[in-house]
Amino acid sequence: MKKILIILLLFSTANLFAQQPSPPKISLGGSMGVSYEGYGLDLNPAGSYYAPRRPWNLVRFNFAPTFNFGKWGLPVNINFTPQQTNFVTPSTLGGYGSIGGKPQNLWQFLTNPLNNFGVSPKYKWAELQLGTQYLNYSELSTGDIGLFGYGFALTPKKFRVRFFNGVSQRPISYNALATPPIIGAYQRNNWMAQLGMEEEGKYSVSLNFAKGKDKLSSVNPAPPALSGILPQEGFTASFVVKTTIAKNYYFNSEFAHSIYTLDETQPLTVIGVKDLQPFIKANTSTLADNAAKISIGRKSKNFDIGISTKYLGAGFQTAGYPFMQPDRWDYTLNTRLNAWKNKMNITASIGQRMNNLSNTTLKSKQLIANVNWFTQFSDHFSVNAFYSNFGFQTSGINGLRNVANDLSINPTYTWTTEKIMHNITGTYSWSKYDERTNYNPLVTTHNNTHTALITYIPTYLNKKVSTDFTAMYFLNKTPLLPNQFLKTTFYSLSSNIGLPIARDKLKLKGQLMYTYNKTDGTLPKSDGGNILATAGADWNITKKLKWNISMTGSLFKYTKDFLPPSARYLESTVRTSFNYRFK
Amino acid sequence: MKKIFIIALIFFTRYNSLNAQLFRTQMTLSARPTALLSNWAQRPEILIYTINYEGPENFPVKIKANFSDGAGNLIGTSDLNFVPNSFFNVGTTILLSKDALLFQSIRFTGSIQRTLLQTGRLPAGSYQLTLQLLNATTLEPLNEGDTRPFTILSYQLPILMQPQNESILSAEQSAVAITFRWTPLAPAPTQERTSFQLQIFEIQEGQTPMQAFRSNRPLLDEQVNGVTQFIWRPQLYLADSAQNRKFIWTIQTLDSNGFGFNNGTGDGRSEPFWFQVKSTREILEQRKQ
Repeated sequence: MKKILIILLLFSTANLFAQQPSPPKISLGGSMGVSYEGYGLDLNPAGSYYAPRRPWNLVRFNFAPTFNFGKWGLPVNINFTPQQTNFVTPSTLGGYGSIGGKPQNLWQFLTNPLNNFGVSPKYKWAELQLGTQYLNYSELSTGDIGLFGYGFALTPKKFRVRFFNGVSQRPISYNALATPPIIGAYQRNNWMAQLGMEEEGKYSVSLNFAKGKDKLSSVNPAPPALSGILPQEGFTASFVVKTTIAKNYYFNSEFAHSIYTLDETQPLTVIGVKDLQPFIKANTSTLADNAAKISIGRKSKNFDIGISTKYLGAGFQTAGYPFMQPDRWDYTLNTRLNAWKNKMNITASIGQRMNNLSNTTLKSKQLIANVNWFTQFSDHFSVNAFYSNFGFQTSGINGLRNVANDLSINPTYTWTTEKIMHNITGTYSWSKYDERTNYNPLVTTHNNTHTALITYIPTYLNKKVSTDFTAMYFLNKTPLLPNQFLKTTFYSLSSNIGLPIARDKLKLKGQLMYTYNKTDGTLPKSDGGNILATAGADWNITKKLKWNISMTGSLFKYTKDFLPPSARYLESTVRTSFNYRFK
Repeated sequence: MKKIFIIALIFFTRYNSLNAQLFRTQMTLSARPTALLSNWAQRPEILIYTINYEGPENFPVKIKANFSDGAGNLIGTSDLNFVPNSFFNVGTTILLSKDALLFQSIRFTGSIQRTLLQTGRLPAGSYQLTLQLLNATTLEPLNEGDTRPFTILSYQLPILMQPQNESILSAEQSAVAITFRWTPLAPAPTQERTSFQLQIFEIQEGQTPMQAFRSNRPLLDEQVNGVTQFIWRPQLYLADSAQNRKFIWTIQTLDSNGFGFNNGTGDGRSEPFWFQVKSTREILEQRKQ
């Protein structure tokens, strides 16, 4: 397999060089830059009641030029930080506040999902993909995850041949000496391939393959099995057909089969899932299941209608979408309508999702419906309204039923005087959420939230200054006891300003926001507040070089019933960057 | 003929009682093991099978496992052709599930086998497990077998509700509060108390949502107990086009010990959703287009 891939790669590279045109026309596009983010937190009184939520200092470098030599293109995407901010994937340093971690080595730095080191030389229909690449082959095979490796994409006429081999998860050894211990992760090697045909706007057919395999020897010591970090392996094959079946009518489908091993160290089996050689060898922890996605509908300028359905079997897992939740079946009806000379626009959808189809636990159902209606009644007045319903329920003695209803109405009125174009936008939102607590005793609570917001945007016809003002009211009522509610209320005022000066080369901007919050229903009644102030500037130093800075301070005062009493904190963020455009 | 029969009967009875004396066994089985059978091998606390043996050296034995449903109907049994021999010497041997229960040799009945091949899980319900020692040469039982009941509970992790995936929120409204909702863990745990960890990450310029999720530090990592709604006050400058524009969020379900509620696999994180905020000015301009 490896040999075939190397031969293919050499062939494609040779092909690239063989067809070099002359004379080349050289141009350079893209950008490069550096950005810095500083964060500060001052707690009064000192304590641990509010945790810092950003790294104290973070520097990022960006180098993304695109070189063009005639028919050759060389886009570069290098974007990295020497630091580690990983949270969902492990860091060699451990989490915030950890002690005893180790710095990342070069390989861990290159394969950190935080960083991009990619280059993709192109010649006509041939593209070589090197370094970090985020590639989407299809919705059920691979498309979510970044890989560091090598590959190619060939698109001669209507043929599509793509391949990529790389690492999606960097190796981090178990570190018991760190406090808390760093569980680590296996290096995950992935490859993906696509063979297909496509005529833009007419049809697309492709066969996709995606494989992921954790490398057992990549870590020493390995993560303990009890941590749940087990070496896994998965292979997925999918077949995609997208076609226009008649004028304005489309049909899209994808069928996929996955074989996924949850633990590579388990013994092989002859009774369980069968091997699919040479792609994967099954063991007692191997699952095999199917998935499908079909949509059919009509699309036109003023009217769309379509139905779509998606089924993911309980054992369907693909390394290309590691967070995909399986064991569900959705179906949705979507529509869009433009009427009244394009002044009225309605989009709506209704659908249901069923979970736990495998019967390994209780089945659950969700109803999802929403409609958005926009009408421009006149040059001055328009209204947008939105309604959504989301219901979730399971049966049985511990059954659950949660229903959310959200309604939002948003009128906008615009009028113009000699010097100013005025715009007033109002929003009223009502949200009702009936929620059954998921622990005993199972009690249903009724949350009600009302939000009213008004924004005034004056546009000065003779001045370059831009500004807006917003006032907002927010009330959330949550039942505490029968006939007793916890009421949380926010009153907020905010204003933004933008002012270009120095012949528009420098734009100053700022925001001031004050929020007063009150809780009622607990004893004693309590209130608190938050002031958020931002000042910044965007400076076009030259046509190509731009500098921007933004400084935000947020002073937050807790309510009286908070412990420690009268606590407050000041959070500050500074962001600045230099950006140079090559063209 | 009669004599031979009597002698054989005496010999057989004596041999059996001899075997019964040779092996004394005890099985300890977790009352609520994970539904994912392959995970039993990784959890030493699930099954402990203690065998006390007194007899000749290197005595070959096969361990037969029977799974029954709550009504006692057999739903799975070891295929003895695939059960390797275990050799016993005098003394006490403690076997954990990976050695006592060889899943690679167990055949389940039709629908359960199909479910297991697809999901790796036993359907939720009550079961019994029986372990019995067999003479590897004659396949005759060496003890009566130990039977223990157990219950399988399987859960569906929360599914995110609001803000919906790829939705656009008003910056002015979001600057004060954003309401997050998700479905509960289903079914509701009856004995174990779970909590939710709401995690929100900023998607920075040039990052894909999944890249931000996998590599950034969360802006919020808040524990929410029992309920499935949280009102977040971002306290962020949302009016700028270059920062705090896109966010990705998830719910991590935690068990009573604070570990990811993995339900046999994963770290308890639900499939993440991402959303973006836009100022009223931007939304109005977009509507005009």
